[in-house]
Amino acid sequence: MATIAIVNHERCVGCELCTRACGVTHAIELDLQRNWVEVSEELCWACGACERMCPFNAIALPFWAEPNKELRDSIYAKNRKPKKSRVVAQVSDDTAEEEEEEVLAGQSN
Amino acid sequence: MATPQQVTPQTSPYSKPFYKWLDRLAPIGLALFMMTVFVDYSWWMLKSPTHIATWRSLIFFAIWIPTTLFYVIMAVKDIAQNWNGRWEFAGPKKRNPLADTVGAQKVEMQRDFFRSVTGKRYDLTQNAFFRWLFHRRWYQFAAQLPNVIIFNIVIIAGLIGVVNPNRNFATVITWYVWFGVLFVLMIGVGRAWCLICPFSAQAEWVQRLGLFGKGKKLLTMGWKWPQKYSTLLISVFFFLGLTWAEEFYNVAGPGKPAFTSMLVAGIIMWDLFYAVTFERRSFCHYGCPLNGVIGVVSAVAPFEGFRAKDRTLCKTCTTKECMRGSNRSYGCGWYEYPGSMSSNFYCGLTGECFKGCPYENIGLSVHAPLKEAYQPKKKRFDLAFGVALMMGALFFEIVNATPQYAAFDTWLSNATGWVPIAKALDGQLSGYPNPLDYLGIIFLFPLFGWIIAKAGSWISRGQIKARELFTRYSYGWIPLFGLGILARQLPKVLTNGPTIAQVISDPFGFGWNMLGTANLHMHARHFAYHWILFVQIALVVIGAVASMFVTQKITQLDFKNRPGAVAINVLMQGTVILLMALLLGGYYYIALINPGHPLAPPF
Repeated sequence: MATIAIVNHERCVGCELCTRACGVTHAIELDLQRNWVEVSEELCWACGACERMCPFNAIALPFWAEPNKELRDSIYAKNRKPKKSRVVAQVSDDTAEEEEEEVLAGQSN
Repeated sequence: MATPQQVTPQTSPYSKPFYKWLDRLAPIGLALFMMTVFVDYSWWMLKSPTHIATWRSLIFFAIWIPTTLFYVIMAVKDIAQNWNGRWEFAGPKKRNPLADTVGAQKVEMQRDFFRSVTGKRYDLTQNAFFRWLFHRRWYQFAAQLPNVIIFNIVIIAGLIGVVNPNRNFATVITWYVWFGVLFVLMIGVGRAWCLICPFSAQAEWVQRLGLFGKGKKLLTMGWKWPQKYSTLLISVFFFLGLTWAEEFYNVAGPGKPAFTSMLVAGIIMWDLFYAVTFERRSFCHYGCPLNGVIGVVSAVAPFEGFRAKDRTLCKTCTTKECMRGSNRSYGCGWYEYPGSMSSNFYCGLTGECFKGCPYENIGLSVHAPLKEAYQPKKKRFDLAFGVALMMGALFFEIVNATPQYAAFDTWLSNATGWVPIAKALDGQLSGYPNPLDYLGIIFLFPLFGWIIAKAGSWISRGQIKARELFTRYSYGWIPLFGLGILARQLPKVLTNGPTIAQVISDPFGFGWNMLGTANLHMHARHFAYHWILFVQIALVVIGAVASMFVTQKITQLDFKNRPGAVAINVLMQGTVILLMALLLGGYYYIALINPGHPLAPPF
């Protein structure tokens, strides 16, 4: 059985913040009848983005699982709005632009 | 889905300078009140005939001075930080247009889950005063402060006051007043006690490093409560444990006030440990012995808790300040999300979501009572099991007053060798109550509920599982349990309650007369003699009728058109009637076997 995020049905309130966080594979879906989320075993990459997003710790990777941090950071980088100062730096400095690209590609930690 | 609401006005009904100054003066007034109580008690302590260097005075000042200093320093810090009116609210954010399309569609897809039952409701936040009040950061603090002071005096009174429980503030307040008021609050408002609870208040102040301001730093390790142990049953087992300990050490019996004091101080320490270790109000969920009882009985109350007025807007909200907090509010301490709340079970009425929501989309509605018991689509097995266990605890409280039980308990304690252990534990001499028969009586009720559910499953020819029947129909026992346990507390509260008049003027029994009522002799029998049994019987009957109503509604909502629904309904109604008969018989028998006791019937 693949390592996937586990949902605590007692705690899950169906706010769908984790559904939004799971932006790459869309592995999390809301169960409309029960108002809690379910994780698809085929789609979950165990990146841990949902765990970081959930305010109530209702969804988490098993304690032995190492989150796929590179994938998670690349998701964050993709969703994050660039800061103004950073945009200015990109225009003036080529190295900053390279760094940005690295983050987007998920190469840097 | 919530009913359509009126449009909330954009601006505050009060003039800006007025409420800005009120926001400054109200916390100052509360801090001054705290200081006044401090000075008053200290004055009487110094003036009392006991010498200043006695151990009593030392204990008094050793607890009194540090706690008051802590409150005052925190209050000064919060008042200084918020002097320039950081609590003001700019007005609601513009409604997201997606709410009318995507949001409405999503809510429609969950129509079955968000089912609403017809009936009138009134949203308190339509009223300008409540809207203003719930936006204040000191709203909860103002409710908590008097209670915190009272329970700190309880701790001190138990330790240094006289041993006579009827002249000691600790016993009188905790067991004669609080235990009655608690159930009235639960049945009337819901988790109102949790709003004003002094135990979690102090722990939360330490955790947040402030009394009512919104700070950025928290004094907690912020551990997440393990998923595996996220269940209500922990709280229910703590309740059962506490009830047993209370009987064993005769804390409320009335026993030594020092035990009451240690119990209260122990709960505060335990709460503090949770607060600095785990995030939010983990104690209230997974440590508080009363969480299960209060949550369950709240279902009877007509308040639905802070809840989203328009769920379509929540479906498109991406920031969720209600859960995660904002610059003027903390995230919900109770792990609740107003956008999908379907019962008031876990709403602690702290109002943080109300302050946090940028759309002003949170309301606090009042509706017909009992709705919260049958309305939720999501009914939980652990809660149902908890209700059955607590029903067992209620029946134990009735059975233990009979001589037959006393004889059986003594025999069992001697037969199982419990008596020497009880002596070693410094409990009651006869070893009462033996844990074996205590747990035996309690676990009889889940077993009984399960057998009835199995019978129901058999009636439906296996189409409906016993687990589902047990889970859903256990909610029907809630009103009977709530009013039954109130009836159980009544004799103690009504017969001993009047002693409050003396104790409030002379809390430690030192001969003080702070309010001039110390010599007001009010005897219990003037208040509760003949009619108390009839009040008990009336409460149980009302509880049973309410339970039958809830059971009927559960059948209509959850099992309509399912095989054998009508027969199962009859079975479940019969179960409620049987429980009612047992309760009535129990109360009557207790009154009957005590001739001369104020509970004995007048004929």
